Amino acid sequence: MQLMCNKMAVPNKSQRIPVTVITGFLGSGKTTLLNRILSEQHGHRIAVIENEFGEIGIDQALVINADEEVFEMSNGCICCTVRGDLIRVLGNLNKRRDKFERVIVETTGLANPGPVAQTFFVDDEVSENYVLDGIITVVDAKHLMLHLHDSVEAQEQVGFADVLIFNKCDLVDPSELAVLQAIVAARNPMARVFVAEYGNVPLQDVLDIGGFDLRRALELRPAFLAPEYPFEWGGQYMLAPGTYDLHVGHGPDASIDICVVGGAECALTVAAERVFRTFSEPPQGITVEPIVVGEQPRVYRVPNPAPDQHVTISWSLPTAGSLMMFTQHRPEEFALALWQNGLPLAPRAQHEFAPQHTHEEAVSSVAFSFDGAFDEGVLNAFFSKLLREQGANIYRMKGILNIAGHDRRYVFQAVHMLFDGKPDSVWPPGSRTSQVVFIGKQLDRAKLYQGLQQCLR
Amino acid sequence: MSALRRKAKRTTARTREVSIGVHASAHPPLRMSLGTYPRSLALALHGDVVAVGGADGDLHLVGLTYSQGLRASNGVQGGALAQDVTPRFHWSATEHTHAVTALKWHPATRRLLSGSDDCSLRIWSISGAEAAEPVLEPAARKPGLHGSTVLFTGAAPVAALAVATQGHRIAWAHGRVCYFANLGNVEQGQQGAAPLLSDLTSIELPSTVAAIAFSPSNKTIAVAAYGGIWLYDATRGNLVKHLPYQGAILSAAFSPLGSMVAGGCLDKSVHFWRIASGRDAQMSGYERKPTAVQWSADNNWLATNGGNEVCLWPFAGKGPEGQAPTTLYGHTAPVEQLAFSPLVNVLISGDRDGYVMLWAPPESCDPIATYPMSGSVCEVGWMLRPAEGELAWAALAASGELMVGRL
Repeated sequence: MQLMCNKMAVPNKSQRIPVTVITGFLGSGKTTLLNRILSEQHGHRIAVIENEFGEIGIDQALVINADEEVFEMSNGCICCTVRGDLIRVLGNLNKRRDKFERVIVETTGLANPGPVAQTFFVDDEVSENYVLDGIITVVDAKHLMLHLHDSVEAQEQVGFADVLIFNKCDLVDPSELAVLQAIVAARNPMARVFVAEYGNVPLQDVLDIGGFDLRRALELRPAFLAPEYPFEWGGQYMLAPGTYDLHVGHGPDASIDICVVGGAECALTVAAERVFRTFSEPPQGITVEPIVVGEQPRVYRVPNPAPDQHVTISWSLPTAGSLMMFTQHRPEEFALALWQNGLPLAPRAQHEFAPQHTHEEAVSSVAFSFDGAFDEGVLNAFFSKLLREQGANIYRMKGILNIAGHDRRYVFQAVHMLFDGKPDSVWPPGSRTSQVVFIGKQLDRAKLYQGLQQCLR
Repeated sequence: MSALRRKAKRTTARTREVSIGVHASAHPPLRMSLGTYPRSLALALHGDVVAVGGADGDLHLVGLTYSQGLRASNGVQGGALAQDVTPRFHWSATEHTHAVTALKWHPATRRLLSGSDDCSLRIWSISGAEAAEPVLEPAARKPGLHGSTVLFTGAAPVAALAVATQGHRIAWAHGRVCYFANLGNVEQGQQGAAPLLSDLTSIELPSTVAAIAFSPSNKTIAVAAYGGIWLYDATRGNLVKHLPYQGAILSAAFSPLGSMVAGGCLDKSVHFWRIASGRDAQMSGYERKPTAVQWSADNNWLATNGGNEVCLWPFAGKGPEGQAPTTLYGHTAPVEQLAFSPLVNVLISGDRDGYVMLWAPPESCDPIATYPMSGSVCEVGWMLRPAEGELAWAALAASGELMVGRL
């Protein structure tokens, strides 16, 4: 796999023909949307590749019917799985480039968008002549929950989408629609969401979205980057110097990780960002002797005591001030409390944090932003290793990167193990914030964060 | 650096004689613009008619005249040499409604067959095309392209077409369904007395057929698709052997001795199978998917594209296992097509930047001639002129330019 180092040198790819892929379950309204796009006066000549028999109402459109043909390669790598029909049809179309400026692929309801997207990265001829502009997933609001529950394809279609269009919204009430949108946003926060009737979405929002901008996504949903923490609870105590006992009772997990930090006068949410990284380091064991609480956060792993027993850890606080604890589970789950002189102490402030993904198999997303500049070589090695080892679980990855020594923003996207990126516009003066989003299964937020952090120069 | 090299090549068509005595004609080749976006090419057996299928369903026939005696003047010093291939006619007709994807001359009936994205297979009525041959059509007809008849209509575009070098058998595919049939008495068929096709057999493959080829004996038909190559008995249509590979095989080429079949694969490898044992050998390391796989007439070499180079695998003796291929460097863009001549080991190749090169491997690994074309080269091939024992080559560019030269 060739990552950025090589791709950086590739000049202007703008002469590639943009391709928009429309996915969605049967009856979700793909053909309605397609007809809408074709009938609008946009001045683009569009070639349509159809995998499903749909009634295209526009005579002048160049329509090619092709049966879906999924080609798996002998190495068994799911990322090399491509759509043979697209390779063939796009190759033939390329001989008449004068006839169209854009291609739309309408897939069957049960199509896995992975191989469709991968075709634009894997096949040399296709990747040289075409660029995947975006994947639009049309969802039937009425049946979305049923589809998400029953079908891997529906989950993947939602996970892969750049644009999600909610159709048939008149069949659900507004509160239900809001819930559906929240569910979808949790699975794929990267996608722009539109609520439509009969596919009436603004064309400029669904075509030419190749210049995907995270900033725009952030404006739409500021909570996008709200992190998921590796701890569920944080508490702050204001204490005099001395020794305090932490009691940990029997709980529902084999162990509980507890981070402790002294002297932090800031708010819990601010301190949470600081201790975030500590959680990804190997935890320390507990000792019988009192543990001196310093300004350096430390994570201790406390084994789960037997029922009706408890473990006591002694914190020794040398100076008066703040003691903060961040716990992997909520205190009540492990009957966890700080004691002094036989009395439990109440925290002065406490905060519950969003837990890390709870449904490992479900499609989820994580996003990060970094202020520093990345080292090209180190980052390259990180992405190579990451995609090689976890590419199967990473549906999409997108980002804008600040690479040390480069004045241009480096914009990239990846589908499973396949990576495509190029230098984009020059950074505006002032801050250069890199942003990276991952969508997929079993994403380990802490590990990803730590890995990226280490690539900063 | 490479830009400079390309520039130099554009201004001078270099020719070079190699020790084996093969050399490209010193005369400039015929160049003509057909005014089409070509999709397919069929070179006539007798070497003086070229057929080209277009992306808009158009068909072109170009008749060629080779000047006599000019070759003796190859050594003449000074003055520009005249073109020694000239066009005799350029006929065209549009009867297919979509791109002509496959085109073949059927030797037994001397008729032209065309397959198209419009799902039909047509047979053409032509009179007076071949200069040296008697007129095939009723003498009353003027020389020309007199239209076509639909032989067969399938459910999907024609993906591949092959004809037996001897006998009446033809094979073609609509999408994933492959058909074998005899092309019968054409004249009777036109009067509606008898079907044009007889003994029709159909076979469904796992994916759209990529290529069909008749074995040198015409007894076996190879069909390439996703999952390998399938060998069928040409007459009965039963499966003789499946040569499996999990990948999309793009081409099928029988070795001239008929003991092996080779094909390029989408996963950037070339496979060849020894038919008797069914043993599969994979040749990989290609930069791009090898779309063109061609044997030399003496069975000693297998030429492939798969990058900016032409790769020659040695098949003399025990075969290529453990041997390094010979690589022909010269192209500076991906090689799109290549073909070995049917007589001697001379190879023609064409690249995406529009350069056509002639090679005489392995004695010389440099091109013996280089010709620029006005667009990406999409087809190349050889024509044998049996009466003269002479070879001519043809190349077709995506811009619609046809180039024909003599060896």
